[in-house]
Amino acid sequence: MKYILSTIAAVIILHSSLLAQMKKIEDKQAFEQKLEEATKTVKSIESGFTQIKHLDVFDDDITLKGKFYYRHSNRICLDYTGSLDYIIVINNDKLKIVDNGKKSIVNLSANKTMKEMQGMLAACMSGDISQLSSEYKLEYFEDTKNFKVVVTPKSKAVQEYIKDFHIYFNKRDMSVDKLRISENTTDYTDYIFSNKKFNSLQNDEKFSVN
Amino acid sequence: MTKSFRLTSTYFIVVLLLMSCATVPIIPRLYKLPLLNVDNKMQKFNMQIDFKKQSFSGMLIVQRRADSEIRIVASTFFGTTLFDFGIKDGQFAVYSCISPLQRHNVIKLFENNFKKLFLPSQNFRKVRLYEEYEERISGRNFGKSIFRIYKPQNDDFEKLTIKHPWIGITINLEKL
Repeated sequence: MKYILSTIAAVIILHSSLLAQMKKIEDKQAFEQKLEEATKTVKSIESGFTQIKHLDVFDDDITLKGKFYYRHSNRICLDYTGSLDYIIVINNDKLKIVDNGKKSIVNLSANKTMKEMQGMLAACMSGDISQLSSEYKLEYFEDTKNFKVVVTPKSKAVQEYIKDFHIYFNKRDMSVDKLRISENTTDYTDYIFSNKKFNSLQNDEKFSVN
Repeated sequence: MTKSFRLTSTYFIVVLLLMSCATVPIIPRLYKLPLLNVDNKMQKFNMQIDFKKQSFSGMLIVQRRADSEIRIVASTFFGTTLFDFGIKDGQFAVYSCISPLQRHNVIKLFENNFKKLFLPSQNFRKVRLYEEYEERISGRNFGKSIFRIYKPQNDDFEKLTIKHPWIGITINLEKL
């Protein structure tokens, strides 16, 4: 009797884990169309984010929180909260970092790799992967709750910094639930987006690079 | 008249110098404690590097591992790792480093700075205690480094700066 019960339990656990695993999307075009329709209507996003950096060499992960802002098509603001006074703004070709009130502005167009990474980031965080150039390989997966797109850069210069991106789209509204940036096989940074508001931004002051 | 004036002014200058020195105790370089104590608890710092008119900021993460190696990782706040160094038994290891920083002189600078920060019994030419901070100076000319730790209290501190005056680099660390 005990053997039967433990076998049933093992089958249930195995079945659940198989259900939770992502499988390759059969109809890639349907997914792309659904994503295109959703991103067409989204002009801005405002949400909270939790950033979790995992380094295999350390026992604990590093967690930071903040607010995320996006304006179609190439403007992003990450405003870190808590004990960290830090803001990152990407506005087209400009990157602004404000650290404890100290501002630095970088012209991304001067560096091809940085410009490429900036474009990739904006696309992955907003979910508008149509902006990605042919310099990336895309693979599509899904489970009951999410679609997942794995973006792998082909450029060796970008590969030095990033192995791939995993973008998790919420099946309900095609917004980005989570973004994983993998540096190698063991180290990664997760961005988990919450309390999302669409088309709520009244002005662009968050994206100022002056 | 001129000679006596010169003697008098020299006398006053010497007295002033002695008075100013008397308010800042100079501790001989036998001071052996590390600037920052590293144990098995992860420590995170907001790191800002200023070089001439350029400024760069990120996060520095430090922890002593079970095998007693001190692991030092720098990362952009966005998440990408800039370098991953280790210090064990006085030896410095480079586990990873982005290519713009992979210059012998740059790695050497980091090695010297981190050894001075985290290891005991490091040689300093001068150690001074001011009201606001403790200052340790090592090296000369292009190798000169000035370490300042602000308000050191019970292994905790407000801010630490490492200045390389001849190279024009300043590294600021604030605990997160």
